[in-house]
Amino acid sequence: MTIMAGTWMIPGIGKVVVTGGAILVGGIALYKVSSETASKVKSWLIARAEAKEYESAKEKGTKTKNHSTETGSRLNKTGKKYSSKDLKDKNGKLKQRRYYDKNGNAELDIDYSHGGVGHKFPHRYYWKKPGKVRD
Amino acid sequence: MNFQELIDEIKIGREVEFVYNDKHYSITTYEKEWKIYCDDTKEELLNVLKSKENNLLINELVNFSIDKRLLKDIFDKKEYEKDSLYIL
Repeated sequence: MTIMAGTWMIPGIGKVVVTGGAILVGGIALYKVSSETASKVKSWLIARAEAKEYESAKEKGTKTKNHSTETGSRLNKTGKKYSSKDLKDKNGKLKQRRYYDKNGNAELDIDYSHGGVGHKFPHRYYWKKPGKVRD
Repeated sequence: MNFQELIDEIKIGREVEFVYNDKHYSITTYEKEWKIYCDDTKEELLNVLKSKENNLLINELVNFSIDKRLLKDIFDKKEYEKDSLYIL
């Protein structure tokens, strides 16, 4: 995971600047602020980095870092947060890639192959209600 | 998977494919319609407009038959090829 350089306003903390070599909280180096504040800042930055990596993978259709594969008949409606999962058929052919959001609910499917007429592959389905209603 | 489980999955918009009597069938949605299609004969067996909770499709599925066999029986008696079923 990559903590991106930049400047953010973190609720309850204030202005945080991440540079190549340091993290500044209100102009003070992270190691000089209280451990509670430092912990909140680290958690916020890590959560943001996770979310950014997940969104990037989803947009590109690539695997997330905690990606997994299944060969059963279907993928679950819930999974690990910020993850992707592939469904492959018995011959190893990719049928579907699913993305699970910050709450672990299915929010996007990319279908790579299935029967029917009129479809172009791959194509995307966004879950109208993540983990509940697909389309 | 029995027929009621199939209906529950379709109700939330999931697509289905399976093999029965050595033929591949799919229940898929494309644009504003649901279709049941035989991928081997290239025959469109059913075409229904999308509706709230896919009720129009589900109403049709209750009495829908393949080779004179009710879809309900195919699923309740697990007559489809076990490894061929996919819920997408």
